[in-house]
Amino acid sequence: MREYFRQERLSFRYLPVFWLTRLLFVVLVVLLPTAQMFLMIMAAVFSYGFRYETEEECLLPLTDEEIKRMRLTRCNMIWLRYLVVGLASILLGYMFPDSIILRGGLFESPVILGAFFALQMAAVYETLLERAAGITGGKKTYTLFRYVFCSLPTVILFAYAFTKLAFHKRPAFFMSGAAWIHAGILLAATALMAVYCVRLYGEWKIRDFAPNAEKEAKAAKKESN
Amino acid sequence: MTLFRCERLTKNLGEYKLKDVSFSLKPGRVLGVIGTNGCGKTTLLRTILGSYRLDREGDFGELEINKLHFRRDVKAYKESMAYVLQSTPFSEFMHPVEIGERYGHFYPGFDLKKYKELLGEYKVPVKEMISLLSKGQALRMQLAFALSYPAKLYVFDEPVGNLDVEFRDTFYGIVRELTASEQCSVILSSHLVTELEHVADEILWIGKENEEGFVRFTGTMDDLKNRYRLLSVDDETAKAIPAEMIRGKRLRENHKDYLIYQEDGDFTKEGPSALPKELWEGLRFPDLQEIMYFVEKRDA
Repeated sequence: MREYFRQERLSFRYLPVFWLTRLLFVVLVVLLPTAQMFLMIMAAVFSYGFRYETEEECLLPLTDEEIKRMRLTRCNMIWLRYLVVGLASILLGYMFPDSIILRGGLFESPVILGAFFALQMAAVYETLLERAAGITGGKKTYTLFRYVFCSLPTVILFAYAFTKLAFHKRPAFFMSGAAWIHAGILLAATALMAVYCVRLYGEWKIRDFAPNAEKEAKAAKKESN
Repeated sequence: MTLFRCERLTKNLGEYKLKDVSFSLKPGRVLGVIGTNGCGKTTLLRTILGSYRLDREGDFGELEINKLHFRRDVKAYKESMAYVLQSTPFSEFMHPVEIGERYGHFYPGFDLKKYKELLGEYKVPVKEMISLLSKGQALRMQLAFALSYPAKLYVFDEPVGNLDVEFRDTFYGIVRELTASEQCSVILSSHLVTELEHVADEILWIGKENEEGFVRFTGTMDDLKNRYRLLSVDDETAKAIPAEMIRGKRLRENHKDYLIYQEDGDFTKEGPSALPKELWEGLRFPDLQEIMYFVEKRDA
């Protein structure tokens, strides 16, 4: 975590445009539910695709476990952003329950909450992936804290949503329009990130830095022909 | 005392295989790695650095720096190395100073202040992303990084091709300085063999045959050059040269140049398959480029 925030600090210093774009994205997603569709899909796709792997990782004086942990940290921190988005929406929803801007936001529909819950469960699954890869990732209390930290906001929100359900004539589950779109976005994001985690799990073994190795072999064959 | 040891290194890349490379390096020595394009020089250096792993079927070998094993002591092994590669290994979205701040702390003794000073000295634009630097600037940046922490083994993979003449001179001066203290060694691969000849103490020559790279020669520069001589004679006189001594020939205007070989370097000994006495006077030493030209051309 410390290394991640260190890299974020460097990123802000050297590429403030990228960093501020991400911040702008979070603000827009929290404040403008109608913008969520486009922004969340883009974020999910971007998070999936942007997994730069440089040769430097293989050259650094790190063990294989440390390299895996470094890669997982990148994946984890994408989840952290989604979590921040969710928490910020929830907090604003509590603070401004009658706000026109926040109407139809994340906290309105249990379907959306279900999708958000799935997203957080995938974050928990990631922790399990770390354990499977033999990465201890720190003390036990830290892991427990992560489970609680990921789950608590959703538990509170589910409780709030179900109590609201009791006072609606039409079940909130069948809300249409923005709520379904938001749910769809979050489900798509969950699915994409789950695929990403599975792919990462499949690449556990640190292999040859493949692009260079294949290029070398092709160049050698071309030279000999 | 051996600083670096490479034993029976075999690396399989699927379509190509580098086979059975063994050599050792004492402190304070410069090893020049030479060979034609695609023979496996970069494969060898990247395997030494850990970018290529010995984990495919058929891969084999042992690597040690100061008795630090490349598998058992992976961290300490990699901490002992510094490198400059033909293609920059860093993310192209990063800035030169950022690289020092992001990766420098992995290397014990990394001096960020020195790194920044070297970037200035080597005229590397610090405000540009790596993707916008020229190849020469990117190489200089890597060199600045490599010189900012104390390493035992410096690995340079064809660093001079994209450097201007002036900086090439600076680079060779740096190589000599690094080895002058006899605390570390340098492995340097280059196609500019005429320049390499003046800086390398030892040579590792990799040949290529049937999709396999192999060691053609390993030893000192003097030992290599001592085994070869050049003779410029006409066809009639050339008939007197024992066929088994000829390693290549090159056509000239009214004669041919012949590269001849004697393992023990004694071309003036007498015997049934020795060089005739009348040819001894015409013998001259070839330079490294000529040796490579004749031998590789013959095998091509």
